Amino acid sequence: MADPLHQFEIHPVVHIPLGEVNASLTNSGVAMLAATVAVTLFMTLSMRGRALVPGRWQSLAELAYEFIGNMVRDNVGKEGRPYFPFVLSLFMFVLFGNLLGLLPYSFTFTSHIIVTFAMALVVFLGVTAVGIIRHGLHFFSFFVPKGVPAAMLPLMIPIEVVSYLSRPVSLSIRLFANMMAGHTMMKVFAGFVFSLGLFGVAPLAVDVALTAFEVMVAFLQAYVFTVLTCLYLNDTIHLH
Amino acid sequence: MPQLDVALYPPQLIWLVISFTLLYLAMAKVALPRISEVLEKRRDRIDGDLDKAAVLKKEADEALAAYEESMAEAKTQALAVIKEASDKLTEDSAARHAELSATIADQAEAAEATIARAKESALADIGGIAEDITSQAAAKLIGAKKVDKKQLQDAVTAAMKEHE
Repeated sequence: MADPLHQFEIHPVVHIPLGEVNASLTNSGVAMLAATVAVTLFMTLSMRGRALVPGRWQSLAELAYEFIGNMVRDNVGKEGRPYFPFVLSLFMFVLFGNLLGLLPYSFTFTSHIIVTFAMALVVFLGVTAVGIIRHGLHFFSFFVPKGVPAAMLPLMIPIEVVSYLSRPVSLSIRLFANMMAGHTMMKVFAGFVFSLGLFGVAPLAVDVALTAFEVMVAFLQAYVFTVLTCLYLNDTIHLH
Repeated sequence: MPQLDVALYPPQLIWLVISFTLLYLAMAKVALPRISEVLEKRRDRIDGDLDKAAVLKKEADEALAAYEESMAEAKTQALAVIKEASDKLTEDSAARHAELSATIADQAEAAEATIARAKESALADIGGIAEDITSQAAAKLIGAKKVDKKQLQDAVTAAMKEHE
């Protein structure tokens, strides 16, 4: 039986040594570029007609635009407007990474902790930077919960700080673990299909169901990642 | 687990930065402005159509109001004409009635006068006739050939006075 973790292996496609650093274009990099190209084509080609009454593709692109637009507006408010392109790019990048990873023989770059952690870290640092730029030192009042007796503060402030610092960790692990677990499970069941002979129909049926489930997870995790980004942004813009 | 191979982190991070930056630029500079432009154009168009519809509706309402007003005006005018005609008719008939009444009254007066004259003349003649009858009656009854006229006249007048 093939190793279920084999699908997560990274191998270079184009060797690019950048001095000491390995900057090779790998299968992961190809998948990222594919997601970028797919999203860009989807969001631009579908709008080529700029039709007043949209067709199918244009409707989809407008749907994505309004979906994220509403998400930012509902969760962050008017002040979230400047971050809309970033939030939309993030959502589409994760979503297409997840969905393209479901294609056979493709690679799921969101199943690598370093990728999800890097994205979560960008969100975390970006949100913190927005908070400090908007509120200055007042931003750090975020760690002082309101309505708490002064005696409790030495306990509460470290808890708040730790919970704030754990945001990028939970954000990245949630996405990475979901994608990795789903793909591993599919591979495990797929491994049984041939080894069980005629009874391989059973794991095959499970894989069919899992594929549908994974499509849902692909959307859900992209949504969760983005909506949490919006919530963090809201927390910093509107200090409690 | 390949995810924990630190040696593979740099190429992933480098290409993540490259592809996400490209995607962000494509979205922020090209795709999103285009979509928002289309959405805005559609919203403007819909708002414009709604405005136009509102203007047209207002015009239709105004036309309806004007029509109703002219209708009401025509109705009052018609009522006035009818009233005028009916007034005139009433007036005419009253005048004719009065005229007729006056004629009838005149005729009645004239007839009364005629009757009164006839009565007067009849009353005036009645003395003479009575004298004649009396003289003839006297001649036949008592054989008086000749009755003193003066006596006769006095007797008749006295009788008439008695009867009055």
